[in-house]
Amino acid sequence: MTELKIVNLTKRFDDSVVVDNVSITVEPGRLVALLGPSGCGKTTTLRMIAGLTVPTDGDIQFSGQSVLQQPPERRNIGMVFQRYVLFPHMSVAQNVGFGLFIRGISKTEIQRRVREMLEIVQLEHLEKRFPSQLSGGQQQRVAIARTLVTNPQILLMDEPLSNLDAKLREEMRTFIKELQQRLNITTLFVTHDQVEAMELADQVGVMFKGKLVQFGIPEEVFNHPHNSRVADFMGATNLIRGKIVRQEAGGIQLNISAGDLLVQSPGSHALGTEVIATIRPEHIDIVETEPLDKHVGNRFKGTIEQVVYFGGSVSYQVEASGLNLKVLERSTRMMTVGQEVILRLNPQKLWIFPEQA
Amino acid sequence: MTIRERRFSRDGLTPFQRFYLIFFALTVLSPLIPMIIASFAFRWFWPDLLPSEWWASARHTLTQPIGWDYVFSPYSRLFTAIRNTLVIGFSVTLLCLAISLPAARVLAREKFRAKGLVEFFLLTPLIVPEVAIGLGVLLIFIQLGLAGSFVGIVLAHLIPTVPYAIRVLTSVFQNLSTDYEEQAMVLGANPLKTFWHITLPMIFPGIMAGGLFVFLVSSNVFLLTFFVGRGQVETLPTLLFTKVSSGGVLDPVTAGITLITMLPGIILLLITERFIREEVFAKGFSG
Ligand SMILES: Nc1ncnc2c1ncn2[C@@H]1O[C@H](COP(=O)(O)OP(=O)(O)O)[C@@H](O)[C@H]1O
Ligand SMILES: [Mg+2]
Repeated sequence: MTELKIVNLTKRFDDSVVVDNVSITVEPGRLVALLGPSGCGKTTTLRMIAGLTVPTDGDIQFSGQSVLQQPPERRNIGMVFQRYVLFPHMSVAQNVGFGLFIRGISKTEIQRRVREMLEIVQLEHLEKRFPSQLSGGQQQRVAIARTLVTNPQILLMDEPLSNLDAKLREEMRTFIKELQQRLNITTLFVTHDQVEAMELADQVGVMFKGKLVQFGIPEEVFNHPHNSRVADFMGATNLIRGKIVRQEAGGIQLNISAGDLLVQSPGSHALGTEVIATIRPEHIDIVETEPLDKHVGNRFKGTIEQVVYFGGSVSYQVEASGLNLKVLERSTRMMTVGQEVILRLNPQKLWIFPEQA
Repeated sequence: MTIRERRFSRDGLTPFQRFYLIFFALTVLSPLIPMIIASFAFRWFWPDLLPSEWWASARHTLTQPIGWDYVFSPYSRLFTAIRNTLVIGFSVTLLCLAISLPAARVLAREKFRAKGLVEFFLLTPLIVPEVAIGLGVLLIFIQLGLAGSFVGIVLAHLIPTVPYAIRVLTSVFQNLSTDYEEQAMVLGANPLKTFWHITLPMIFPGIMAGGLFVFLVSSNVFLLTFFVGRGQVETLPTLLFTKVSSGGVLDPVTAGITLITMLPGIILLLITERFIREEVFAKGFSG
């Protein structure tokens, strides 16, 4: 198993820095998701690892060995492109066998391994078809089979699920996870979908404008974003500005527009620091009837301004003394626009970071 | 069915479009009719609509070959001309493609400072008259000892064909995403294998189309062939010119040779068209 390490990797096109001093280590056999909005430099990072783009600065190491001097065909990596890129003039079997064919492996051996691989991706019945005769999901699986058949030491996937419809995407997500674990292959997986990253990855790196802004296990990145951009990108859209007024063992007391807010967040901060507190929409409780008692913390009176239904859940936009909060809850009850409610923000689910990221 | 849809007949054409197509076909094909008649005529005087005597009935009454008999006899030098045209045409096509492919690839994919200048130069052969090119090339080739030789003619034919082929192939490369080649490299193919197994099969229709036109241009070039060949290398166009200047346009032999001259182009067109349609090229390569 191979360790993938990129060190201070930088890419400049003309005058714009597209990848800015990024360092990531993918431990052998692990899957790291590189998460970030479109245009943040994810594809460029993968292309540098593959050898298709020459880095301006920094190093790329496979198991401690720099591969910068090796052309793509010698790096023994697998790369699944965003648009699959199946060779249109070759059948499914020829596509899958291409990497073996190019290595001069015997015809019977190619046949055996292609068949074996097609069985894994459950496409053995389609080996004679041409790419144009396949559905998106099938093309995707052919692309994966073609990549894995040569036993690459590192697997790179560039938003492999972004062209699939929602249902298929979920199926393929599970499939990729299982396959990656079974083959124990070091994988860097690029996506702009945080749910995908959370479900697949052992570790997640979040990229903005060429910079790696946070790297950690999914729960960490999900619940404890380093700054408001990460928070927003991870779907924690409730950002509450405040100033630290008190700090004790039990937590941190913030002064916010709607009053006081208690946050149980580790770390020590100077009094008076301007911070942003964030809480995920699904972590806010709506308390319908309870009377508002000044002495029970983190409760705010508000009015429902907007109701949006998604399958099993409802999203409410609630206005509470200057705070505009999004609340997500299961659709076991329905509230209506204009209804007065009380919001409870669990101190343990709140998280703060400095205002200036 | 909307009004707009009803105006289209079953083959998807409006009456005007169909008229236009038929008119176009007639314009192209109708000049061939007198040519075909002339090639089978023995006596055909103005203002008769048809010949008063045909080749088929006259050929037995004379001792020397006439009409089609003459066309296919060694006297006409037709077969030498066909052979020369084919040899020159295929040499020009291969050489031209070999020169144009790498150039087109660079023009399509790379940015460099003199690119605009190169693109401009590719248009100049369309602007400079053929006579000027022909005379200039002849003077140089006389010095080099290439005048009157096959090699000289092939080189001269590259002048009008290379710019054309580069332009066609540039657009072919522009339409081929680099993804395929990059994917092949990541899968372990070196640049040469990538070109052979991926690039070439994928641009094959474009190469066929470009090559076909290069061949057609080469086999129709008269002035350059005539000048550089100094009349010593006879191709179909130069043979035709000799016949026209000695016998006139409606001379049966001239008409016959004209019709034969069209054959290589038509045959090639049919072959390549079938090739491109069935995409045999693609499947044939990767086996
Ligand atoms: N070859 C290139 N030349 C100039 N700019 C480029 C090139 N490739 C990518 N970029 C720029 O780099 C930025 C990041 O691109 P990319 O890595 O594809 O982002 P992502 O995959 O995260 O969407 C984009 O702004 C893009 O325009
Ligand atoms: Mg991308």
